[in-house]
Amino acid sequence: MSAPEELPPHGRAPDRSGRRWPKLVLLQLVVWPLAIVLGELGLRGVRAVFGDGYSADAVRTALGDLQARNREFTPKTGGDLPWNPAESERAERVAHPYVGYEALGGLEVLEDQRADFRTTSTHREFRLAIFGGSVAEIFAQSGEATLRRVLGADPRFRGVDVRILGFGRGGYRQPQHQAFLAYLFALGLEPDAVLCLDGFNEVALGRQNARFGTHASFPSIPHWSQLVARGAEQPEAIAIAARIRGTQAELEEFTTWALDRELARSAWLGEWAVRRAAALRRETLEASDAYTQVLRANESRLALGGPMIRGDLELPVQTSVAIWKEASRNMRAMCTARHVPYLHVLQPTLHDDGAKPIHPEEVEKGAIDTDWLEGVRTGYPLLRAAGAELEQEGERFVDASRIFANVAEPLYLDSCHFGQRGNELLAEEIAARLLEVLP
Amino acid sequence: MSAEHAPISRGRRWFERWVFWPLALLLVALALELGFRAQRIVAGRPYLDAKAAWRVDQLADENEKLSTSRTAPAADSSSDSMFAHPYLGFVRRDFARGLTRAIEAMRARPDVVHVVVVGGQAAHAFVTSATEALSTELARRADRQGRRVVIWNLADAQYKAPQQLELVSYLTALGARPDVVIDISGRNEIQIGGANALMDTHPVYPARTNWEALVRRGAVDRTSLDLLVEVWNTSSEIESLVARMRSGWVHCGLWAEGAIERLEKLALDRDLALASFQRRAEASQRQIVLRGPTPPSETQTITNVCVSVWYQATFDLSSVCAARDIEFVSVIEPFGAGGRRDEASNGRRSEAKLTTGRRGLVQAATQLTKRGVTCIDAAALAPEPLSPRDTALAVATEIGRVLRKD
Repeated sequence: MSAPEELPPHGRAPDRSGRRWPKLVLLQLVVWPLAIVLGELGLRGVRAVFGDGYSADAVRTALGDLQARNREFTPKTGGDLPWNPAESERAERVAHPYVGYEALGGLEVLEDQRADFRTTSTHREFRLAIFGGSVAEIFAQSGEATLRRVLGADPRFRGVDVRILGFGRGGYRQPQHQAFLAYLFALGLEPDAVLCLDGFNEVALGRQNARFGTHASFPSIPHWSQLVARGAEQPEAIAIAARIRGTQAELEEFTTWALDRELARSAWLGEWAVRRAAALRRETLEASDAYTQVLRANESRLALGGPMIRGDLELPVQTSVAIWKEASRNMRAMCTARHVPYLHVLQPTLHDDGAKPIHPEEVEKGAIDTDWLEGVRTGYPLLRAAGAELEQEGERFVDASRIFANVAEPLYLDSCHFGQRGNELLAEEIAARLLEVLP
Repeated sequence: MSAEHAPISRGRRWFERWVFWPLALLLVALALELGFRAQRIVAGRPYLDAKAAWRVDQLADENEKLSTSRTAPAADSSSDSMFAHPYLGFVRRDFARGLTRAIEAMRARPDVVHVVVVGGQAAHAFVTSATEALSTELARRADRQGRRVVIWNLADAQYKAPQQLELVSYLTALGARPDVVIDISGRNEIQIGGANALMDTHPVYPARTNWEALVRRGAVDRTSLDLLVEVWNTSSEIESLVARMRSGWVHCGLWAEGAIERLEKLALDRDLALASFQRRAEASQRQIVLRGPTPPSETQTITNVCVSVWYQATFDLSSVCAARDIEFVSVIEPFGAGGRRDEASNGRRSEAKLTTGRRGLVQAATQLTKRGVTCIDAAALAPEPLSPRDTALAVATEIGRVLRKD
């Protein structure tokens, strides 16, 4: 019979943890990496089974896009370009008496354009003025080479220097184009042809205006309210602005970190990174909406809301289409009287049913605000019908909303802007139609 | 049993844990605090609680003042009679309401003869003096008999070309279809356009005095907002630091000294950001917003540009109307030596400029007539200058006559 085990003086059992910890550490070192690998494989497997295989490239693109959209309202065609603060400074919106707002850079460019109109060249010149929103703005740059090439191949353009004058601005919508054209004519600037490339902003932003109680004839309310609102220096507005800047900075830091650390290599981390970045983006957009609301509260109803015409606010998309049609008539009237050929093109957009077979890449990039979506779905058929009416009256109208209908490759950078390839395709069509319009 | 194995009583353990060690730490902190204060006395810069509290109060007051000025309620916009308009530059409250009523009426009542009068001061006076005469004249035409004539006064004393063009384009884009558009203009184009150029604003822009009042409201562009946010954030940080100091930490010299330094740095950052914001609000970029395109500088060029803006805008106004079968008449109001003699104000130079400008307008009107625009020179309606009321009546009669002829 063995002697009873001697208890320590305070009566506790002997501490054996000293002998157990190496085993515990070893176990942790084996179990956790195994769990991570299994989890990773499991998630990839499950996604593959459901036909939604994980793609690290798609995650990197999504993060890059969220980062780009966080920086600029209008995405650049080369999404991987570094942010240029000087360029952004030029894109700042300032008040303009006849078009509501203008980019600071646009005011400066107009000076160059006026000088260009005054100079007499030894070559014959053909100046094509392009009006519209950001799609037209991008088209004037990305479609320029194709326009020059196709026009240059025509005998009428032999020895002619083709100049593209971009008057498209982010967020512009009718009646801003008509007002811009009238202003340019009043300044004595008369181009050789006018192209109006529009449609999306009219219906999408018109619908959004209505949500904020602003008439469809007024400029896009997030653009306009910043300039006329008086409450920007009020504490409530600054607090929200601080929140916007805070989440923007957070999103910038997070996406940079996630891309630098290659989180996309892991399905779990990649998914998490995209979700977190998207949540931050959502937060920014919500705060932006709140900011607009606060500014609205401080401003005169009439200055922000525009005319309160019975029925128009209830049917904002229909009203926007009617304005689009009437404003185009005015542009045509001004051009015709001056013998300036006028071509009106309805721009294509991703969420217009039948516009394009949507590529999975475009599904991810093309997330759209619900107001915009409703505007497009309701508005595009109406725009097509109104365009047909304009055409019957004698307007040179081109319905380019189906121009990508047979293009399977991804073209869109978001819900409405397309990249270089899309602009080239559109430029070919527009140049061909332009040749029909020119004498 | 030896003393080192003696059990430690529960009471003693509690005493050690909750009384002895905290007290010991407190004493160490106190010793450090006293040491710090002693070192400051030896260095000749004693730390005084009252002085630190006074400095904190001072920084807090500065922050508070800034906060009060920033949080002062915005000017009551309801009391303002003028505000920015995206296509007309500016509108008065009553004008904006009238515009809405006019659009609704023109959409709803095609059975009525809608006459829209646009232009500046003279157009405004014309509607006041000649509504009845104009209605009678317009109703005399066979196709209008039995239809009521409604005259919409959409003139503004400060409007000038191309505001009339933008206004009619906007009206028609909204679906309003007037039967007749009458533009009575000329004086503002020369006078306001010329004054704009002298104040470094292009004549095509609206009256600088009105436009400036709306534009100079403080910067709200992105960079400026960032600066405001920076002011806000530093100010909030100062507030929370001050609150902590006032909760008693000011008596801890060791911590308070660093905190005061931090407060001073924050206050400096805030002031720098605020100064940048204020500078930005008046920065050169605002000049281009006020100025528009580079204005002409020579007197004769200024007048030529003013005339050219009127000519181009009137031609487009006529085109917009013609495309919709809207009858359009452009009337050059009487002013300068071509108008009433008593209107020649502000000395001979001013009168000479107006006279030259008016001559340019009349020549431009001749060109417009050749291009199919109906123009009336109000000063040519009578051999002698007439009173404003008589001029208005004569213009109404002439409008009736030319429209019947058309």
